[in-house]
Amino acid sequence: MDAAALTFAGVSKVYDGAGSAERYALRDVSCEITSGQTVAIVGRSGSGKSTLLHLAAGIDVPTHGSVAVHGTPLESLNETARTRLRRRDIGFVFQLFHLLPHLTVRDNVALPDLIAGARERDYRERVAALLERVGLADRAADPVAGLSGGEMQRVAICRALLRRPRLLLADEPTGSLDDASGEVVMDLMLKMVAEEGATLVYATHSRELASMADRTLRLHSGLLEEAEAPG
Amino acid sequence: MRTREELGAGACILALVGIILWTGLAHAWTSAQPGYVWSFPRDHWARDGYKTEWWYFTGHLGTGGEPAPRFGFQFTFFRVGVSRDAPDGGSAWAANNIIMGHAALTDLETGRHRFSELVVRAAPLLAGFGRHPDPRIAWSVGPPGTPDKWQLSWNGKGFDFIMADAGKSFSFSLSTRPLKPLVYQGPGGVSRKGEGATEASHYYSFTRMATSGTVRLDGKEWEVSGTSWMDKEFGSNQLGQDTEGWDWFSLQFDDGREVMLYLLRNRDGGTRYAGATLVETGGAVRYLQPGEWKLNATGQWTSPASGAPYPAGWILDIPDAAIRAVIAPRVADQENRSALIPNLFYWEGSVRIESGSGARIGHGYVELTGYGENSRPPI
Amino acid sequence: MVRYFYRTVSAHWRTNPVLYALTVLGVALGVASVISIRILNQSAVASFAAGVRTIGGAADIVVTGKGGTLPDAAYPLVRGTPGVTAAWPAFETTVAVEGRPGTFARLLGVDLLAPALDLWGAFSGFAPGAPVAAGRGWAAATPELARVMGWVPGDRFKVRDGAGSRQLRFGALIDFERWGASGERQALVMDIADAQSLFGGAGTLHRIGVTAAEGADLPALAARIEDRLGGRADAVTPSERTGQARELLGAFRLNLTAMSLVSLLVGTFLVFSSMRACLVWQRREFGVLRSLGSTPGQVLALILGEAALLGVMGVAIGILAGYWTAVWNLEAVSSTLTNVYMLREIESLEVSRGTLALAVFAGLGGALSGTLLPALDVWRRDTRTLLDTLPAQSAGTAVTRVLFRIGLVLVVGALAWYWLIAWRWRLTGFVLSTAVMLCLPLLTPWLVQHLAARVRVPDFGFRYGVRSLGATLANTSFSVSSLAMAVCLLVGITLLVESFRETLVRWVDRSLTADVFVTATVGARPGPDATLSAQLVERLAGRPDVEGVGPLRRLFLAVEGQRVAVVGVDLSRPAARQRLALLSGGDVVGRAIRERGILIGEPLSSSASVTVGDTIEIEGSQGPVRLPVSGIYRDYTQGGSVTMDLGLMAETLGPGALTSVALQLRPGADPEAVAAGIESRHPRGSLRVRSNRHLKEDIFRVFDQTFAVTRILQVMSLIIAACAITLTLLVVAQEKASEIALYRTLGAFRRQVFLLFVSKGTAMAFLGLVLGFAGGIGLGAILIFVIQKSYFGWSIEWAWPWWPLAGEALAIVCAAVLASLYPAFKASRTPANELCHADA
Repeated sequence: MDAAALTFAGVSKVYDGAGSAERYALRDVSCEITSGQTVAIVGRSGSGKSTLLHLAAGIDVPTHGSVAVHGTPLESLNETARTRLRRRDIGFVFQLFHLLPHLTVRDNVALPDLIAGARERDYRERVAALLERVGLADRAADPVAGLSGGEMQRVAICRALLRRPRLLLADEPTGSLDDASGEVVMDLMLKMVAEEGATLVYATHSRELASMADRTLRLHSGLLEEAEAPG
Repeated sequence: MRTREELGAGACILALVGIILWTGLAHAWTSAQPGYVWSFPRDHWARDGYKTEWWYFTGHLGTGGEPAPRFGFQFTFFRVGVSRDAPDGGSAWAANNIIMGHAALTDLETGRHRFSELVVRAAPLLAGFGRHPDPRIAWSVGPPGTPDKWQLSWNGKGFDFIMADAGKSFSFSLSTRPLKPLVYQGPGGVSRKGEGATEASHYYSFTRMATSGTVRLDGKEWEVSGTSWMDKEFGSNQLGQDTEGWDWFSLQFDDGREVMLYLLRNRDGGTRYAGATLVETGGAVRYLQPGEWKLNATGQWTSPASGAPYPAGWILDIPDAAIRAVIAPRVADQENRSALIPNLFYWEGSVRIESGSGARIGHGYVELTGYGENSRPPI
Repeated sequence: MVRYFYRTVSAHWRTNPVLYALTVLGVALGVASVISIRILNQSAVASFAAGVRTIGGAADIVVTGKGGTLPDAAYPLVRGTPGVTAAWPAFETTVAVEGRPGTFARLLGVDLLAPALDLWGAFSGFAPGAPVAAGRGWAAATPELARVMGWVPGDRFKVRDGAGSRQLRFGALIDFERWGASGERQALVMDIADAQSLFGGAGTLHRIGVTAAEGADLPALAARIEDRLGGRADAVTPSERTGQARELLGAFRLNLTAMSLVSLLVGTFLVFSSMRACLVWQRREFGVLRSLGSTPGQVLALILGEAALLGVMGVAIGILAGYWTAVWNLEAVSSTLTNVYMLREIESLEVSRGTLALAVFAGLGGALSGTLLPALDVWRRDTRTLLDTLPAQSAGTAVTRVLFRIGLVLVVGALAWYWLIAWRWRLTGFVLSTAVMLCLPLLTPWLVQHLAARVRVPDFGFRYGVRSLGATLANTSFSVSSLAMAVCLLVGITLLVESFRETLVRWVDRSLTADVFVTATVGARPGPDATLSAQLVERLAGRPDVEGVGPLRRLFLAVEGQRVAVVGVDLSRPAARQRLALLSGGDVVGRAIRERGILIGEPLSSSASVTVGDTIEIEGSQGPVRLPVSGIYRDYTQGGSVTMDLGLMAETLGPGALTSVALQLRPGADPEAVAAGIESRHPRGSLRVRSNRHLKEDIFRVFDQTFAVTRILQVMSLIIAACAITLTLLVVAQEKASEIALYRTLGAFRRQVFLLFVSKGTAMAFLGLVLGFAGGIGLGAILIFVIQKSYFGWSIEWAWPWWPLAGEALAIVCAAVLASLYPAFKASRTPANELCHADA
């Protein structure tokens, strides 16, 4: 599993700014993330962390350069193929959890399989197992509204990992949590990624959380640089 | 309300004019010509074949045996021929005449003058003209809102007539008896109104009639007696085209004489034709020639309601008869204004007659038509 | 702030023109549906009032005979009544004008020699009064008639009535328009004497118009006139006559009034929900404004200002749209008036100030009230929650439960009130139907919430769509209840119309058994003057293909003070007995013959409160007659009817000719051929000959026409419902952009999002259908068993019109699917990175 899980080659992302000014979210970013690695991306707010993750998930396209997931260059795929890739290979965890209030805990976790058209009997056990793993088995039938922030993010992690993605992207996964539950959630996520054998790329502005990764990349005004090895 | 009435009334006058024009063209109505053979009492009744005909009563009435008159009155029935054809018998509405009634009562004490009118088709249902010897000469339903009829009848010696108007709140019922014999106005009863072939009417009068009966006004009733004057006139197209109106006088002198005189005016205001009759105390009649009398207006009164300027006050000179009469209206506003027919307004009122020295020498009635903007004579 | 207001409004328009356009359209549709019905309703009455004016002139009082006509002698009595300032008589008949088939004219005989006759103001081109001098046959014609016939003054022409042909001469134009009222378009005016004698009406008048002194007490004067005429005539003011017209037009107006009430409700509701939906979309913007320091009051003013602006635009468009809807439907309404009620057509549409005020009220009121609740919500909330991307469900279970309970209490309370207290009260039906309509939006949120929560979601498809409706409960409930109200209306009216039709079918099948029906007409219409001659009846009976003849004589007389058709038939004939759908059993007809009694229709029985064993008074031409009631039969004629034996009729109401005969043909004879044969031998317009099939077709054509106007509301409610769905889904697409982005991030294809939205739309349609059908059945029951019964005394049997209902349901689902296409497309274009922006 030495193959690159994610490759950025000369990637720039430009947004139209006010008037004719252009705003560079990313500037000529190149890097390679090996399969099975956990990578933290640090940077201040607005440094381009989210953009990087979105480009990695194929929900946004680079202005210049190429992004490849497991060797597949995303620019060679059309919208449908990119969606299919996302469905198969990529999981996403958001800062604000984005659980659907009208669904139960179980249904929220099952949502990716629902969307993928899987049958209930095929995912029932997997959902149960994931919830068991995060310690929420007894809350499976509850509406998500009653959960605490930490519990919500654990549900979101289960949802992200449901379809056994090879690449898990997390955008400030503990940003809405207090430090204690943030650490618990981060810990859980890292463990589960390891168990699943997935690659994890997460954005954070916390040095402490960044230090839990194998590798840390720093984004500064759209420029990516390797951070010093933790030590 | 006003507009509606005017509309209807406008239509009515148009109708009358229309009838006159139309019938004048389409049918040959008999015109008044010399040689007419009079026959009384039959000729007191309607004479079909002539287009217009009227019975005209004016007079003065005293109350409670007082010699001084308390009321002046006018009572008139007009017959307007619509068609010479006999009415179709298929409907009770069939008519070949229109009947028009005008009545006025002037309270000489208060100076108030009231006028009542009706215009009705002479259909059996509503109005009609009797035939001798039926005593009824003419009759009609009253004005709208009045349950009682108007009627003129022959009582063997004179005329009885009755009118009522519930809306105007007056009525009278009077009986007359001639005090002097019948007078033909003009030789043979032909009264010329101009030089044209048809410009004449058959015209006779009772110049002095004892009159008695009852008068009701605003709920009060009076037994009344006095004298009146009666005219009956009939003809067809007797007025020339450019006749604008006329001044007509019926004067009763205290010495027992009477004078009838009329002046027809042209549109330019000049006198178009005039005629006068003097009846002596004994009943002898003199038709006065134009040079034998002179009438001068001395005053003027303008009606606030119609805006018409009427002459008011005259001096009449008939030197041969030793008459110099100063004639003055007893009440200024004795104007009759029609609500049914627009532009129909005329002055018809009681006048007193004094000598040059101011002594009372008689009284009479004066009719002034054609004064004011667009004024139309009743006929 | 004011400058900000202009900027935002225009920016909103640019960013989401469809949503804004829909909101304005929603307001406009609501306003249009309210006022179009109202315009038609008022124009129908105004048209009748104009008809009354044509006939009565600008009279203060119109005098008519109780038996239909007045004797001539009544005129002097009326004229002489104190307080009368003018009185004019009129004789009237209808004639066919020869030379141009199908041309009929109202012929008025008036006193052309009387002054103060308003008609004269209308003449032109001749000297009035000339007609009488001109001799027999002079007639003035309306410009329309003269134009159609190509007459010039002096032309001679022939007219025909039941008695034959008469020659008249065209003397002048009479223009009722110039007379003030828009009057008859095709009319002839003659002198009354001429008209009476030419048309066999000597001695009879049809009415006398009266002008009263200014400020007179009209009711007192009317009473004096009636008194002077010995109670044999009715003296009514035109407003009373218009009032009678309202009564006559009752069924028709009731339909329209009920519908305009309902459309007011639905329309205001649509306006309300449109505005609400539009506002929800702007929540975040208000959050931003608040966070930038604007006061809650400023935000509230901003919201209400924008609502008022949209409301004003909607009202303006709605008034125009409503007017044009009325114009498009004018013909249907107008032909109902002329065919069913034998009145004039509507010639002009009246848009009264009241109507405009109503439009403004419904439009602006709906818009502002629709804005107020959410605006207050925005006003109350703190800035942070306004900025939330996935806001928690706004309506909690507690709120929906309270609304649900209020709805239940409303319905149960209204029903209880009806059964216990108000079942006699005429307006009850309206209260009940309003309660039914109002309870729908109250019940909807709770039902949607519970249904959505209960749906299991095995896949990301239709059921997922239903489930997600609960997430946007407030929006969803509004569109579902809009739809439910529309469906309720649709179903209720369909049930009424179809049940009525079905009942009529059964009644007609039973009542019309003869093969051919011959009816005397004047001017192609049956009327009091139209009779069949004895020779004609004899000739018909003598035809080789005729087996039996059923005679019938119809009079229109005052019965217990109402104008009713009094029908004489030969009760000893089995066919005549069979004709009557009697409500009570036993040998009712035999008893009627023995007792010398009469049979009355159900509506008359209920309106006059008369039942078997009572007596009723009929105002015959020879005076009032009192007769016992032996039986009651089902009757669906307008105004009710009385049936009696012909012999009894001649005896009590005076002899007279038959007005129609029913022919029973020998086996093998072709009714159509016989009918055509008879008709061809008589002049046009003097007889109406119809086969059984033809007559039934005519009856149903008239029936269908009466209810044709209901189509406006049906179509309108369908559009409203579709609009509500589009609007809701658009708002949802906007409001739930983050959710859609989430789906996309989790691997949902665009088409899946598209289908999800179509599913939502369809789900809403189904919910609306279910609720609407439930409500509609209730509304139908109220219309059939409460309203029609209490207003017309008609017993209508309930029928299930499966096919029409199924068709409507299908149409609604199709409309819902169509309505969700655009929002679904918009939603499917939502970029997946929508979430990123929200997080930034």
